[in-house]
Parts: sequence; C-alpha cells; structure tokens
Amino acid sequence: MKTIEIKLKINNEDKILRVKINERLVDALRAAGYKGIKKGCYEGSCGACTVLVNGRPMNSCMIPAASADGFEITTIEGLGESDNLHPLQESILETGGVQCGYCTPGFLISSYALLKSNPDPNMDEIKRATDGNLCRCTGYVKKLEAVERAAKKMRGDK
Amino acid sequence: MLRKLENYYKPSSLQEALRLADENTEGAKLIAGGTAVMAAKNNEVKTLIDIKNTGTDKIIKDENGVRAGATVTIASLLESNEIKNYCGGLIYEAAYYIASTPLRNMITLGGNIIQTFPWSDLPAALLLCGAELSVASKNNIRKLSYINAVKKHPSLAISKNEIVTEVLFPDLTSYTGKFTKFSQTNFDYAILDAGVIAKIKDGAFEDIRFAVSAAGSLPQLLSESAALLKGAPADDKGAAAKAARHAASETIFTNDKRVSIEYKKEILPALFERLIERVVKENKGGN
Repeated sequence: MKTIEIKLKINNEDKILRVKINERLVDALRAAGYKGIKKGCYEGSCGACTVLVNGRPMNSCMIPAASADGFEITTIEGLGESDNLHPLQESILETGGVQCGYCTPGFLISSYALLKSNPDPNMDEIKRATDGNLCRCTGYVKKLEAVERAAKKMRGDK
Repeated sequence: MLRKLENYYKPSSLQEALRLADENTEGAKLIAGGTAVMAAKNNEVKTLIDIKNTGTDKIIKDENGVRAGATVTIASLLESNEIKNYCGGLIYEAAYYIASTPLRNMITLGGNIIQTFPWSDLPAALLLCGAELSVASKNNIRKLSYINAVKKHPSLAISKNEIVTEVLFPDLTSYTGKFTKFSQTNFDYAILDAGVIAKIKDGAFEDIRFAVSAAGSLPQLLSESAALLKGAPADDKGAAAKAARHAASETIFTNDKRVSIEYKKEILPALFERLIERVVKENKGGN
C-alpha cells in the first residue's frame, strides 16, 4: 500500500508521520503512540476516537490520515499529565464518572472543546456537546456532573 | 478501509479540483467532510479528491437570499446568524439534530445534498425553501433546483466531473418555517422528518408548503395537503388537522425495519399539526 508523509501538530508538538494512503487518522495516531485515543465503531457513532482537529471535536475514525496534513490535533494526552491532571480529568475521578473507561478520553476531549468556548455551560449545553460520546457503563449522570464541576474549578468558583 | 485507494489529492483551488474531477471520473470520489465515504467502506474507490480547501466555505446574504458554500459544515450552518434568521429558523432547525457534535463538525452541506440518504434531515427543508444548487464543471457553471435534483437522486442529476459549489436559500422574508425530527434519540436517524413554511396575510394562509423525509427513499413535497390550507384562516385548527391527516395519505412510505408504515402514518399528522401551530404562533409574534 502506498504511503505518504504528513506534517501536523499534535498536542502543540510538530510531527511528521508516514501514513498509508488509506489509513484512518485514529490508526495513524495510535501507531504514533497516542494510545489514549480509542478505537470503537469505525463509523462515527461511538465517539471513542474523538480528538480536537483545529480546535473542534471530530471522530478520528472518519478522517483519512492523508487529509490531516497541516492539522493541529489535541488528544487526551494533551490535556494533562498523570501528576498534573486537567480539571476535567480530576473531576471525572472525583464524581466517579469512570467505569470501564473506554469512552473517557473521547468524552473528555468533547467536554474540553465545550469549556474552551463556553466556560459556564448549562446541563443542556453539556449534553449537547457530548452527544457523540456513547457510554455503556455509567448512565452519564456522573460524567455530566464532572463537566459542571470542572467548569466551576476552571472559573475559580467555590 | 478503502482497500483499493491509490491516490489522494487535496487541491487548493476550485479550478484545480474541477480539473482533477474531469480527469478522474473512474473510481474517484469527492470528499469534504469525508464521513459518507469513510462509513461506506467502498472498495471500488481508487482516488479521493478532497475539496475542503477550495474556498467554498462561506455563508453570505445578498438580494437573492442566503448563499452557503458546499463545504460549509453543519456546525458552521448552526453558528451562522444568516441561517438562524432564515425563514423562521427552518434550515437551522433541520441542521440542529443532524448526527452528533463531532460529526456536525465534519459533515458538509454539499455532502449532505449529494448523498441525500433516506434519513437525511436537510432535504425536506431544502425542498420547502426551493433551494438552488450551483454546479460547476471544468468549462461551465449551471443552476440546478434541489427539487429537480431529487426527482431521481442528486447523485444521478450531478455528473462525476461536476462539483456542487454553492446552495442558494432563496429570499423568503415574508415566510415563516418550522421543522421537526422524530427519532428514538437525538443522535439516531430520523424515523420521520417534517417541515412547513407559510406566508400568512390578513390572518389567512396566502401560501403554505409541506415536506417530509425519512418516509420514503427520497424527500417529498406534499402539494395536495398544503393546497387544502391555502386561503384558509390561519387559526382554523379543523382545517389544519384535515390537511395534516391528508399528508399521511399523500406521502409515499417505504419499509423501515425499526417501525411499521402504519406507525409512521399515525405519527405524521401529529407532526404537521404541531408544525402548523408553531408557524401560526410565530407569525403572531410568539415563538
């Protein structure tokens, strides 16, 4: 299979990846070591592979890797470190919004995009922003509470 | 996985894209959002021509209406004040429940039109407003009404060497439009989509149009049902109910493994009655 080189920015670092011409972005990113991105449905339904592309959440399983030349991508690895968690990561642990954890990276990326554009979202806005991230374990309540909680932390509210 | 893919092009101008489309008609697919091509897993695709960078991503208002480029995403449609204010929010409401947030950031207006899946939400709204497509080829630009494009299917009305570049939503300043999607969840494919636009003058329907999609394989304008309300007082609920019931018999339904045709026939009149009520309420200054 033919390969091509793409230049992109991943979590603020310049990267050059050699990808198969028919490869999906999710697979190219995981092969490059970004294993926080999960492979799920491969049809844009589950949201496990959600990454930010130029600041907007997108399903990386639906993006040809070849088209990602020039993209700025943020993955879950770009949100925080294990010893310096992002408020969203902290909050989802505090509310118990993680069970199997497979959907968590995609869910947090969608939530991160929301809080960047809307620091004080109401519950309907949180639900709308995360409507592409399916969770089969938690029933969503604790995950959604985590986004509210993180928003408060980020605003500095008590 | 596109197993036979050999070439990927990302032209930086429309002219270059049209040249590539002209030279690669066999086994070539245009992509912008790419969602339909990636989901279809079509093993015959040899060439992808990515038209995202062709400058067809603007939304502008002029004396003819609102013009949206074909590579405008659904998310961008929803962020546009021109679209929010167009025909009582008709296009905004149709776009609102398309897929999910990540997919709305990818799916494009032009892609949605070319695909026109049975469950697509925009087609009924495009029929109602009389949308007009600009279709470019290497040596020509032609206008194609969406109504004509869906007589068979847009993919049959538009040649492989042509690219939809723009959609004109014609000026409908004196009309109010409303749209509704009936589905199991917001993210799910529509079981039924319905829309109504109306021009109300002196308390009566001077003009009114009904459209439905997700009932059959293609979207449908229901001119008989709408004609029952033309000239009727806008507050005549009996006339509205009669026209809404007629919509169920005028609509051509095809089988849907999720629900029966009988179920859809029961639901559709209720959707139209509520839409007419919303149109009339907004026309009186409500919401």
